[in-house]
Amino acid sequence: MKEHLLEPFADSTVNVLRRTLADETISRSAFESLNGPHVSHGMAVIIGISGTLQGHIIFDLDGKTATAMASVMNEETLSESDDIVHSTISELANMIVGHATSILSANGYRCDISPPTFVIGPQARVLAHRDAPHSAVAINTRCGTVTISIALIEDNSP
Amino acid sequence: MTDLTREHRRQLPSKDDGTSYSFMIVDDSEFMVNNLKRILVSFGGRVLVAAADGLQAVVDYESMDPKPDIVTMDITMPKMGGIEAIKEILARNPAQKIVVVSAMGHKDIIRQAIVLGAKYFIVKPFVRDDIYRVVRKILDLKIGSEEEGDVA
Repeated sequence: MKEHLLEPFADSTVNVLRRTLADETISRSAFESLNGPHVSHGMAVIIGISGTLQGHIIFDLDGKTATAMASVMNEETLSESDDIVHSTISELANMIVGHATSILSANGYRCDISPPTFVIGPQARVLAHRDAPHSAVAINTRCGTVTISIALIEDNSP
Repeated sequence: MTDLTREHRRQLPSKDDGTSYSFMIVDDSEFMVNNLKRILVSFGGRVLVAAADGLQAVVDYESMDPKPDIVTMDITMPKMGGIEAIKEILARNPAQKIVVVSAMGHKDIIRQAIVLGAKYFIVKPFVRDDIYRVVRKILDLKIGSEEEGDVA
């Protein structure tokens, strides 16, 4: 997948997490193409993209990391089973994808985002369209690691 | 300056009638409602109602007496989105102060909200200070010496 389509998602994830977690230590890996499906670490938020770009973005992390992030963002100690953890992680994914698609829109790509879908359970497999395999980037924070998997194709039809 | 001192300085004054400024929050995210509520209450504000979609917001708004000083409005919500809800609320009270709080930074949505009369826009994610500054601006309160104190 073209780098200029991927980078806005990595940049937005780093910027939004830095701001929401007040964490200046955040670092990221390079993008890596996945040969098979994306395999979840425990909590995956899937956001669909439609418009001149089509596909989906997966915001994926394990339960411990999700709970640690949600606790920071809610300013209270939460447990993994608290509903507010899901709501917080959904909103986090929404903010990140919203920012990234704003950058893409400014670069001439019209894209709308769907409401987030939450998949809970480790080892859940998410398949991409055969023409748009996932590209994944790992973002390391004090709370743990988040993986962003991106599967997008450009719709060049008139 | 300690965090406590800084927190104490970020306070809204009382209104002329002695009551505190009131807010209505419209957002479909439980996290965002809690977050905004916590921040507004920390400034000394009162959150009268939180609605999870535009339709509920319009219904709740109609029955509110008095109306809130400020409505915070998300854009992407089920049943009725924020743009439609802004139209409906301003049709009932053109003087209502509304601030759009949304992750969608698309220029056309911002333009649409401003044309409708929502003069302020806060992009998610925000920090406490973003909300404080915009609320004071909307209420036409001078930021005053506490901000200068922060800088010093």
